[in-house]
Amino acid sequence: MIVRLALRNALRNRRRSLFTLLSLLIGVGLLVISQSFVDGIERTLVANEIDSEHSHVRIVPQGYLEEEDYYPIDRPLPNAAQIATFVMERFPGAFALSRMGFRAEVGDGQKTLRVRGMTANITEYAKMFRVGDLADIGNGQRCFVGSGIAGAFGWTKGDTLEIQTKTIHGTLNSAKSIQIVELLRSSHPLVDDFTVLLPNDVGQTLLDSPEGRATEVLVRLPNPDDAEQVAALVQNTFPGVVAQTWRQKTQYLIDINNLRRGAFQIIVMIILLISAAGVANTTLMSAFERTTEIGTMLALGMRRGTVVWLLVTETLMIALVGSAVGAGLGSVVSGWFTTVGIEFPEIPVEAGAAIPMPPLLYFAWRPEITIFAVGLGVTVAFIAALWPALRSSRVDPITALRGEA
Amino acid sequence: MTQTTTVAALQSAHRIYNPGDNPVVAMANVNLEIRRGDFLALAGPSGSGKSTILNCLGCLDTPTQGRVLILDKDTSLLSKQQLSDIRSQHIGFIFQSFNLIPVLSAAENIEFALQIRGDIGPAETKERTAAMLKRLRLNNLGHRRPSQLSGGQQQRVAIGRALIKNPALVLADEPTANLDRATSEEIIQIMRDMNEEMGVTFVFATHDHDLMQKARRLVMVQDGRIQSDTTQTGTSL
Repeated sequence: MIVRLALRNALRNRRRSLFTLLSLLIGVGLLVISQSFVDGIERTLVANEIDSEHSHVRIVPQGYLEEEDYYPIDRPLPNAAQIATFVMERFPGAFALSRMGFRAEVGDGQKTLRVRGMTANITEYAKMFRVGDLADIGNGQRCFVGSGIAGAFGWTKGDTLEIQTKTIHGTLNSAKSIQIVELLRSSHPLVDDFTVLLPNDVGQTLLDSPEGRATEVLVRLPNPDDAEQVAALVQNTFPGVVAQTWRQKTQYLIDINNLRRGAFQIIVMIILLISAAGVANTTLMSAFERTTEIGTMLALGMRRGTVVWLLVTETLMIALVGSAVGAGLGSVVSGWFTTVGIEFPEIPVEAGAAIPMPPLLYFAWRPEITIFAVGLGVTVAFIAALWPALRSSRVDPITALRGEA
Repeated sequence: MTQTTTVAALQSAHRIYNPGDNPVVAMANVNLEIRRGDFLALAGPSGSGKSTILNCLGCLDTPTQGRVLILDKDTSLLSKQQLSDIRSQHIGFIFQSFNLIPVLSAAENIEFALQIRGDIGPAETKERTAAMLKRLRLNNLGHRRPSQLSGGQQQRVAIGRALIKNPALVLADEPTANLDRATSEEIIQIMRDMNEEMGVTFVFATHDHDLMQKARRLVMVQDGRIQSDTTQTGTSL
């Protein structure tokens, strides 16, 4: 009976119920969309960092990370080849790549640009990272250049460049007429705007480095959740190395994103607070208009708790419909942008440092977001309705029956 | 009909509003015993204390001094929840303005009293409601909302709501005040029938001379005091 009565009461003043429903619908819908949007940013940033630069585990010599900005080639990773083999043997499906980073300058004979040089096996690099089409590994004096660097010089495929760096012995060395095989495109600023990738045969000659020398080993895992286990095992097995997992590396991105998430949550909370005020007002008005009716029910022996439950149930029904429809619509919108993506303005390198944000952002919708949003909407409505319901139930039946309350 | 069992009683009951600054004595040293099967009219001018007596008998109000007994239970010793339970189980109310729940049909309004009581199953509730609608000659109107019923029909529904739970006592506050003469007579007739056939105990507060005349027991109230308590004979309708 309570449910039937509550439902009919909820439909009594349809305009007011609709207003309450809409306010919750909007609040809850925005909550789902904003949550999916922020989750999408996080997922995209993390995925791009893994796919373009870091992979799941990055193994470097101890102390290397502190000097990483200088790409110290005089600090090679001991036992790089053994580490790579060890990981691939211990973790079936894992793939490991050795590479060596170094500081260099590239130029066209007129101007130069400071870049990060990288030597690696190109076929393996293409297997490890998604940084453009590296199917053609070329031959001779060749390289792969970040699209941002190429843009700064106006280079395209087939053009040639000059590169200068220090060898592992500390002497200057340069190479001219290095042909660009392909441009690196990853949406990761470190790759696109700072990286020149040299095949091992070219890079080792330039650096006067023996074959197999590397400053880091990168590991891609079939199950990214194994990263911590791999890192711990490598560090225990090979003293003098540091293994950095993708979670550790992307923590700064998650921290930045949490600020964004916080800002969105504040906005959504404000909207939900406005909704809560609407809910409280609706409950109060609804009860106020029915004071005599509430007095009658109390006189007939209905307990005050039941009156509270009746009034709250009315609000919860509206809240449930509003929250469910809002969450449903928010999920549809989020689901749409999960599939088609949304264009995201490019973050300037100066402003975004090395934030790997691609131009097309995909939302990350999960059913948990929808369930949480419905739960939150209903909870907010419940809390907002409780005080007016309690207040209304305290009416003196004699006064209420006289119509004086 | 035997009238020996006491259903409710006021014992040395006082009710003073605003004690202190500007006290208003609504009930002064009232002693009144309601016996099973009574058909009792409380009469008196406005403000004489009739409604206060009804409210105290209905456990809606409590005397400032003295006691109210309902089925031998001293209500001053009961919690608000227990008083609610007494109202839902043992007391039926009929109001001047009918006070039906507008979003419920006539049948649902009658059922409502049993549902508040909470100890009657759905099947028995339906059965009792159907019987009550028939008895009140409302069996074709059970589906109608109060707004679709006349004043007399609404008051019949209200009577049904009061009686459906077989209460020990039915309290009616000016039950005919909002009705025309013919409808009033019809309502009085129904209540009288219920009293005689089912032994339902009725107490009304009324200004209606017709109803006063038809009461089997007439209690005159003035300035919060009982002026007279007479048993009337020859009050058949």
